[in-house]
Parts: sequence; structure tokens; C-alpha cells
Amino acid sequence: MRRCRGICDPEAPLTTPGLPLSGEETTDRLLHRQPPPPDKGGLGGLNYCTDTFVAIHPDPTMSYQFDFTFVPDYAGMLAQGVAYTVGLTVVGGTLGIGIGIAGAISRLWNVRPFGELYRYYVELFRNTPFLVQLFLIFFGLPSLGIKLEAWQAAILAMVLNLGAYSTEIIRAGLQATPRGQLEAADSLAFTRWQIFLHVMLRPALRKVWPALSSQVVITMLGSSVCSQISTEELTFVANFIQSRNFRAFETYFLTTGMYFALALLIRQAMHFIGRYLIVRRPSR
Amino acid sequence: MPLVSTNRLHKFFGKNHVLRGIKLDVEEGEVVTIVGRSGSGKSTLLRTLNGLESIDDGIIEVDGAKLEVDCADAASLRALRLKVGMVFQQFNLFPHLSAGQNVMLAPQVVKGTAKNETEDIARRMLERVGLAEKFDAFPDQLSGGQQQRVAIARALAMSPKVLLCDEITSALDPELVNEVLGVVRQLASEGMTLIMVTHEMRFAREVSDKLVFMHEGKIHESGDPQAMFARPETPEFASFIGSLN
Ligand SMILES: Nc1ncnc2c1ncn2[C@@H]1O[C@H](COP(=O)(O)OP(=O)(O)OP(=O)(O)O)[C@@H](O)[C@H]1O
Ligand SMILES: [Mg+2]
Repeated sequence: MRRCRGICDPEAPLTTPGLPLSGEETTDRLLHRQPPPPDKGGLGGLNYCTDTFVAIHPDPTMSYQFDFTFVPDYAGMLAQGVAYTVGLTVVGGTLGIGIGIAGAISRLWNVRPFGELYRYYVELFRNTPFLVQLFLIFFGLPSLGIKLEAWQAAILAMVLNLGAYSTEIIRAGLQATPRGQLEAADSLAFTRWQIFLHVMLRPALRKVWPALSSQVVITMLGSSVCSQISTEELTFVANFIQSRNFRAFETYFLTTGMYFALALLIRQAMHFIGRYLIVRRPSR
Repeated sequence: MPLVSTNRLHKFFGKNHVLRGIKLDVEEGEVVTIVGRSGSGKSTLLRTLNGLESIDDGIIEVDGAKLEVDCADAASLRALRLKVGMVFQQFNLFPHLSAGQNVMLAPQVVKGTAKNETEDIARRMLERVGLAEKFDAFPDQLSGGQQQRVAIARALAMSPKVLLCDEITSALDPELVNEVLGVVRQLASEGMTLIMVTHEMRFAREVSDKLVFMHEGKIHESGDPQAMFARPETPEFASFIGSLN
């Protein structure tokens, strides 16, 4: 795996002065270069961790001690991972939905040549794994002379993936425009692009917004796969931390919680955008 | 020279010969009511008049905008639609826009009129249909009668030469019919050219200058409404009025 720069300097947390924890034992534990001391049975581990958050399994044959003391030392890194994931999602979501809108109308009206191109694109991206799409872009495109940075490849893959799904979602919304509204617009001498822009688009987006929001969340969660090409998003950071402290459960438990919170946050943000951007109804 | 004139108008839906050579002339300021049994082609005729249905033969001319079978391109369709307004049975308001925005949209988008000017137009048109205070209300906050009046205002905002109304009170609760008919009556008295399809016979007799009875895709009988009701000339029209009571 490529070594990441700057934020992930593996020695940084150890040499930082003023660490909340000190002493050889603590440092060891923090690093976990050695596994925790062998279980002495019963509450034997209690001594060892009195200064930390500890949970001891009641079953004496199995007493894993939870240790989240590493969190403060990696807080900055985790925050950057979160920011990276959010960044990927915001850019991927915006461009992806943009591509979806263009694709939806091209498909609906079979705008030449885009309608046909979009059909193949949508089929391709909806019927292949995201990881493989990512690898194709990051490892495959250089063979064609297109060399992308990891973050560029990650964004491109996310945009293309979400674009394909949102094309179909938004198309369904456009298709549901009542015929009467199209006829009313026709009778008012609108051109078809004016009809699309002023009559069809907003109600269509409004109709499919919940589905679109879910797809954006799915794409955000899927961005964890971008760690495979060393994009420094949340999962990459988690993998890195875990490789330092060997606290797999704690690290990924924390990461799970963070993704969960992010998903709720993005859903909420989408809800907000849906309310105020698409409906644009004066509050009364 | 009539404002609206059609000649030899034919329309097929598949093998169904729906319009069989319609010749209709409407003078400026005239109010024409089309009646006839269900399926006689009334709606189809209205819809061909603003290009919502293509025609298979014949010619339509409205105030110089001409539509013929072999040259019904987008530009001539647009020219025709700029002269002809239409109000539908189901209102068909744009649900994402307020009443005012519904009325403003077409002048703004289609004619490129400046926004403050279209807002003026919208306020005047809504006032004309008695809904000045509903400018900011959304369609789902309005009664059917109010929605239909907004739809009339929306059509009027494009200052059409002629307004087509296809059973515009048929989807309304009985107690809301009169507020819409009142608006139509007022338009008629202001000299608006109207072509309408309606089942409100009393209203039709009262406001129409001309009654047109359609039967099997043809104009079977037409003329002054009072005279026609008093002395129907064809057995078909006689039986049609007979079936009304
Ligand atoms: N889109 C369409 N496709 C196929 N046939 C149609 C279509 N629209 C109308 N028709 C047929 O054309 C004929 C005339 O219909 P039209 O709607 O003009 O009748 P109408 O006089 O308006 O009747 P009503 O009083 O019920 O509204 C009918 O036989 C109808 O089935
Ligand atoms: Mg009809």
C-alpha cells in the first residue's frame, strides 16, 4: 500500500509532546506493537487499564478489553478522513446528479446521440461492481495514457456510478409528468426544452428526491472502497489506525459509528436541499 | 375575413375517422359553442385548433398563422399557439408554482418579457378572474373553481386572439360551476373570441353567438342558438336536445 503523506505520519502521535497518556506501558498499549498481556483470568486485566474506558466480558474464558484511548491521538486524522469522505460525496453527488439530469432527459427523448450513449453507459455502470469500476479507472486508464491521481479517480468513479443510477431515477420522475401539464405547456407555445426546464424538472426531482437521497447515501458509503486505491478517506484512515494499534474492533466500531452519523447527516442535508431548493414554497 | 377558419379538416385515430371535413369560421369577438354527443369529435376539433392533435388533411388559419398538413413544422405550430389560448377540463396548473407564477411563466419564458412586467400582467389577469388575493397561493391550496380561474388567467396572460375552452366546468363540484361560468360570461362581454365545448346548455344559449352541433365528425347543424333550439333542422339535433331533458 502506498504510504500516505502529511497527516498520516505514523510516528507523529508518539512524538507529539503533551500527549494525554505517558509512560512506557501506555505508549505500548497505544501502539499495540505487542498484543495485550495474556489473560490472567477473572478481573486480571482491570489493573492494567484502570485509567481507560474498560469493559470486561463477564465470561471468564473470554475477556476482551475495549480500549478507545487511541481516539484522541488520531482525532485529527479521523477528522480529515471524514472531511475527505464528505468532500468526495459532495462533489460526486453534485456532478452525479447533474449527469443524471442530463442523462434522464437524453434517454427520455432519445436526444441523438446522447440517448443511445447514455443507455450503454447506464447499463455498464449499473451492472458492474463499483470496486471494479474504480480499478478500471485508476489502474486501467493509464494504459490508454490517462493518468489520474487517486482522488481524481475516486471522484470520477463516484460521479459515473451515481450518474448512472440517478439517470434512471430521474428519468422515472420525468416520465411521471402528467400529460395534462405537458399539453398546457404546449398550448402556451413552450418549446420542448422550456417544458423540460420549467415544467418537468422540478416536480420530477421532487418526486424522486427520497430515492435520489438514498442513492447519494449509498454512494457515500460506497466511497469507502476508494481506500483500495489509497484515497485518504475515512476507511483508509481507519485501516491505517488499525494497522498501528491492532485494535480492529474499536477502530472499526468507531468508523461504523462515524459512517452511520455521516449517512444521517447527508440524508438530512438532502432533505433540506429538497425542501428549500426544489420546492421553494414560501413559508406561510 | 374570419379570425379563425378551418377547411376540409380531417383527422384519423388509426382507422377511426374522427373529423370528417370540418369547415368552421369564427369572426373576431364571436362566441361559438360546440355541442354534440360523446365521441362526436368536439374535443378533437378544439385540440387541432392549437396543434395538440396533428391533422391528416385540410387547413387551419388563425389571424394569419397558418397550419397545413404538409407544413406543420415547429415554427408554424408555435405561431399558431401564440394566437390560440386553451383552458382544459382538468385545469392542468403547474403544481410547483404559485398562482401568480403559473400566470407569469409563459410570458416570461416564451415571450421573454421582463419579470416585473410579467408580474404586472399576472396581477391584472388574476384580478380579471377575481383572484387578486391568491397570487401567492399554490394550486393545491385552491378550490377547483379557483384553479380553473387561474388557468383562465394563465391563458389570457399570453393575450391570445381566441380562447378555447373544453368542458371547463365538467370537473367541478356543482356549486363551483357558476364562478367559472361568470368569468367566461365576462370575457364574452369584453369581446373575447371564444370557442367552447360545454354541457351547460342554458349557459351556451345565453352567451353564444353561434351554436355548432357536431355529429359523427361533421358539423351537422349550426346557427343562432335560440333559433336552433326553437326549430331544430335535423332529426339528429332534435334528438340531441330531446336527450338533454
Ligand atoms: N388520443 C386518442 N387516440 C385514439 N382515439 C382517440 C383519441 N382521442 C379521441 N379519440 C377518439 O376520437 C373520437 C372523438 O373523441 P373526442 O374526444 O373528440 O370526442 P368528444 O366529442 O370530445 O366526446 P366527449 O363529449 O366524451 O368529450 C372518439 O371515438 C375517441 O375514442
Ligand atoms: Mg371531449
